[in-house]
Amino acid sequence: MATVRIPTPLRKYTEGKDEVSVSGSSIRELLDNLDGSYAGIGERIRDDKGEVRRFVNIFVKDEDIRFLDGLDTKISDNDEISIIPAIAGG
Amino acid sequence: MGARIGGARMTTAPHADPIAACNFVVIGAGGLGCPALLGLLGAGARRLTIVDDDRVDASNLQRQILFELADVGVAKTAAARWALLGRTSGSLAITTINRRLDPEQLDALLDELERPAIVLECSDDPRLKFAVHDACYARGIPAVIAGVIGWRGQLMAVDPRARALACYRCLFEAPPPRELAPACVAVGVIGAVAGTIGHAMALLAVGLAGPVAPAPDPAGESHAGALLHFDLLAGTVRRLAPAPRADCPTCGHPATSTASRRSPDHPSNSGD
Repeated sequence: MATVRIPTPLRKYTEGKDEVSVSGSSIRELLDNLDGSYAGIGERIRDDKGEVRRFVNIFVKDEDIRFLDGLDTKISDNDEISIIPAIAGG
Repeated sequence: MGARIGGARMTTAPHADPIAACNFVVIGAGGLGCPALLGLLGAGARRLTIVDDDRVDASNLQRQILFELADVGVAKTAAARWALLGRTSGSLAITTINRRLDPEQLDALLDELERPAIVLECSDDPRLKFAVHDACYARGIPAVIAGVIGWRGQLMAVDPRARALACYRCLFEAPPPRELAPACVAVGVIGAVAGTIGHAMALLAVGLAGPVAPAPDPAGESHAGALLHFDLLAGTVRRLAPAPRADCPTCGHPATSTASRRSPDHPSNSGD
């Protein structure tokens, strides 16, 4: 399973956990499984068309998936996935 | 000329010093803006412009460290100006603009700025952050864009003079809706986190006042083009330096018109 680092605003969906282990061979499959395990988190990351929201970035290790294969980016068990939304407060 | 960055920086030839000569424009004198202003002062800035439309509230004092109880009810721009003037014995020119920004006013503000200028976007409005970023980029004005909430903060220096570096929209394509990006006043922020991010903004800004980075620095030492993401509850700082996006609407193609880069929204410039 890959390790998914959860940003603070989304931890209310993961029982406060800052990282969770999720299976999946691609980012798309991983996000599907993440939402299956933690209901409600998926819609905060993807829009109703299934695309990653435009103010959210997903990184595999330190690589932005937009520069890889997007949601079809392949991942392996030991990968670390980071979800980083834009922060607006000031 | 004095040290590049220091506590009480002294200069003998201020206009030969890029930091002293630069007009640092702080939009939002709130949780980020207050420590950013102090950081700029400590780093040797001698020309500051402060933009905010809000008044000091007692609930601000925990993190908006330029203000004290006696300032409650006073315009933040005026209170910040007096606090900063009270901390320096040298020359310090401060321009205050006590107004709410909308896209039209933003254009006028940036067009009238004394140059060289560097903008620090410290407001609590996601749409304004993107609008300021886009408008600065279109005018070739370097900017530092930041946000803070809870225990976390982000900041990114953007230098339109260095076209090979990513801009803020290369990383985040659009502002989050308010319901998904609450303001600090709504969900809280740790004052020391705002202080950390605000001071870091000042350091990036004074870095931008120096020589232009000609290209992405493979050693990761450029001041611009990288997002610093702080999680101070976990004690981690991540540096994300994406490549510029070819289809970025802000930097991915030559500027067409200012209007095409404007946010359609009417954001507030108040730092909450």
